[in-house]
Amino acid sequence: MSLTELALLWPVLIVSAGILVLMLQAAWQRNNVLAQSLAVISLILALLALVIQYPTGMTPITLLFEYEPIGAFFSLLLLMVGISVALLQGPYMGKHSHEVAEEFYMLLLLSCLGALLLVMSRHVASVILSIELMSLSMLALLAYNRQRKLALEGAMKYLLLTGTATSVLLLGFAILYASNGQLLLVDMLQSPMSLLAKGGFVLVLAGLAFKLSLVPLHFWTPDVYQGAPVNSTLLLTSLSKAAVFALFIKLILLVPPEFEADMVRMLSWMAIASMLLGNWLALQQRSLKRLMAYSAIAHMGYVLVAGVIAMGIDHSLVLEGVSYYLLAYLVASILIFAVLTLVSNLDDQQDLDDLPQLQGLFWQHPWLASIMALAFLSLAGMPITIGFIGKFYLLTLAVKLSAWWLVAAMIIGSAVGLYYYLRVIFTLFAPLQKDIYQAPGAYLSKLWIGVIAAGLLLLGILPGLLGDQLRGILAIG
Amino acid sequence: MVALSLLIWLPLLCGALAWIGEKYVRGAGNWITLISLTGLLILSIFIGGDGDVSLSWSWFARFNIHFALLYDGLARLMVVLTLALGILAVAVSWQEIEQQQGFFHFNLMFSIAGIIGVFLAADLFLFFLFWEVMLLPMTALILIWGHENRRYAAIKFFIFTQASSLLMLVAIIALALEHQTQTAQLSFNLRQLQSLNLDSQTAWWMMLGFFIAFAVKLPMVPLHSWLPDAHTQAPTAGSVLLAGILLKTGAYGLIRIVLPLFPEASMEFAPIAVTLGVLSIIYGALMAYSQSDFKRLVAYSSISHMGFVLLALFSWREVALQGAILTIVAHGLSSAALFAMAGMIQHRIHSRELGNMGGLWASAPKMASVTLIFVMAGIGMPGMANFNGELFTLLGSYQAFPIHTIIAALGIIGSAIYGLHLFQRAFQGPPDIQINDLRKRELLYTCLLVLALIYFGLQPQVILDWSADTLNSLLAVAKEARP
Repeated sequence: MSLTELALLWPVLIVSAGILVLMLQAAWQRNNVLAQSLAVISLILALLALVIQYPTGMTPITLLFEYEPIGAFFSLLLLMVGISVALLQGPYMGKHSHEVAEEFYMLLLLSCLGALLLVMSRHVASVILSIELMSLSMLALLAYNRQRKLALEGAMKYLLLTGTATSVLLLGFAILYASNGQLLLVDMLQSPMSLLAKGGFVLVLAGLAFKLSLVPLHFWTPDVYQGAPVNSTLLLTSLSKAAVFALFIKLILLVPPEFEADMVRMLSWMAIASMLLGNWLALQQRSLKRLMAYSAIAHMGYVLVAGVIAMGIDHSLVLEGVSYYLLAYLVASILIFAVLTLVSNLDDQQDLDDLPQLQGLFWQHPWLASIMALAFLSLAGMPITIGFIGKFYLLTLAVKLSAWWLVAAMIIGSAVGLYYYLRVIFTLFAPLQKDIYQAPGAYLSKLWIGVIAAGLLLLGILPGLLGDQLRGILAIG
Repeated sequence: MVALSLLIWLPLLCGALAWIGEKYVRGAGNWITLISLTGLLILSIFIGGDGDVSLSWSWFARFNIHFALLYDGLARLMVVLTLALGILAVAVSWQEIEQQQGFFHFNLMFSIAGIIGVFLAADLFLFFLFWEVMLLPMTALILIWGHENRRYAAIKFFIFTQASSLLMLVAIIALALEHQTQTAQLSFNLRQLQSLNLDSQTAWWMMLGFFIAFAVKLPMVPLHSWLPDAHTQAPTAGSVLLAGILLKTGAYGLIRIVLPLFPEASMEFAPIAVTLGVLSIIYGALMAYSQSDFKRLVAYSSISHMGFVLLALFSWREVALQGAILTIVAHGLSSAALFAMAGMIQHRIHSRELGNMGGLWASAPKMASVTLIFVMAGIGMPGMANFNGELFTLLGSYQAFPIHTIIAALGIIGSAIYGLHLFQRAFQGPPDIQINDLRKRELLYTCLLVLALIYFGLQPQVILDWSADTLNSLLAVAKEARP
């Protein structure tokens, strides 16, 4: 590895350094605020490093990693998520929590590190290592309050199932390796594909689909979401989804032509089933976290539409659409969970999660409620929010390819989705029943949330700001 | 011209101002909204003073989307109507709103801004954006300040209109992509899209996508079921805006988009559309007769009247199209007026049930006479605005669809029956309860409405002059399309 290659790894190195410093700090003197600042600072530094040396083309870094624009764009998103979670953890824990703080930030950074490495991976070994690094450190975060029974149950489920999924992934890679003896992702899917190789690839996709909670591999999602502390749920629903989807789309773009028809059929069904089932099951949920879990299933179905189309035509628009949609999804998820985090407390047995508990939030905390309402409108795809532009990209793609089944599923899914998003928004505006707690202080966290909410509106009202640049940013076409 | 975009920004700005103002001075919201709407009304008449005005800014270059506005005669007519009814909406809710007045005025102005945006948009993407955005504040109006069953009504209203407009979005995208295949460039511009050559099958499906979205708003039977609930549960100001303007955006969409973009397809579709229109007329009238709720009755009568618009538009005759425009304006005024009366009565007796009224004439003669005039206007009495609209509609459509028109004419009898029924049960008979008569403020705006209805009844030419250019270009399109 040369020095220039090492320099390209700056963001990763900074995050790793942050982890080491946090470890030392935990050994030296425990201090919540210090730990939080260290985590935030190292993430922001990594973000800056990434922005400064933003790639314009593909550069391989050793055999394992590569540094390219699409991965870098996803890294930006991942770091944004990481910063949000780190900032929110402070008010969520409060000053005198009975859980320790340093380990949370350390695990958070580890998880971010795994995600960052995953989007840079070009080799089976690095994929497996980074995906496990991400998932396992997340596992500890999912059960961060050990007093909560549901959290422990959820984490256990996640452990067992994610273990299975990784084994399936590993088996798939092993079969691919057996059939053509390659371990680099780009070389693995060589034409012509034998039946064995095809089977291996399907297993790989199944492993990833599990992480994305696509139907029919979605069963774990609601329980884990509901059990976990709400800030960790945020990490789970944004970080792992975005990072895994980056890999997913990378693999799909490599599918050789003769296998495309089968893949399109398989993925279309998964997408349609995810959109319909996710939205359908969300209808009756009272728990906001479960609702978000099902909504995540549906939204992953929407993004998968782009994945299906990726094999058809016009790669550039597909990548733009995926990037915009995922950005929209992440922004909305961050905002919704951030508001939930700000009105909950880690030490409690339960987060504020039941819908009636949020009744009248607008009349007591108008800013929080407005932000949450905006985020839900964005998920529902209302214009003047970023979610609409994301949906517009995807619909354009689907119409362009005349994929009418997908269009129909998207429309039906969105119409059904409206109902439950609206139900939440209406609850926020209903008359206030009893006072709702809000974490005191935490101005920095609230400022950050405000900035993200402003971005949600800005990119929805002036989509050209990002949309016109996206081709350049992703260096395509 | 930049000033044109002010018609959209200013209501938003003044709405925010009213919200803030109300926090410091009680009652400031009313005055700020009233003054700004009056100012906007003057501005809107002034801007269109010398011919069409348009504006186009690059907005989303990746998809060649522009922030393009067009202010021609028809748009001007609709914007003026919107602002006038906006003022009425403020006037009727002067004292009716008891909580969150500031936020109420913000929502009112927000929805007016959205509606004006719909009327001005010359780019389909922009049109869709406003089309959706105007729903949000309207839903909030119903949800927060509505009556007993408001939550259900608000959800129903929102989902009906949103879900149907998704079809429109798909049609818009398909249209833009079709432009790309034909000219190698995406375009959402209404004028550029008009020059496309669509094969009949594609045009048919796209037309259907737009038509369903507009038919839900219009509303047309069988897509009407959101309307009685939304109208009944909305606060008076909401009902005024809904009946007066929001329904007209559907008709406006048909005139602006469906007819000129897909002339052949819509001519082919005309028999179905006209049949549904006639069905709406008769069904609306029958249902109106069987209602015992004042607002619900007026709501069903709206369905009946908007059926005339549908009938007129799809018969593609000059006279009928003029009739449609006249009906749009006349119904906007008369139904808004009736909802205002319903609001006043409800504010006084806390009920909308006709059974709880009766004999109100004895204690409130002024209110009774004004209501009688509005009911007469709704029935289509000669000399009032609605008469011209209905007459022209029937006259024009008879050339194209004689049987449909004959049945539609029965709707006028129906409207006389339910109109008189409404008036009798509310105001005549033995006096059951005493109520206060009209106050000065109420007398002022009801008198203005009466004057407007009579003025447009005697001088329909004013409306026709403003909309003449749009209708002529539509007829030119029709001449080309018809072999």
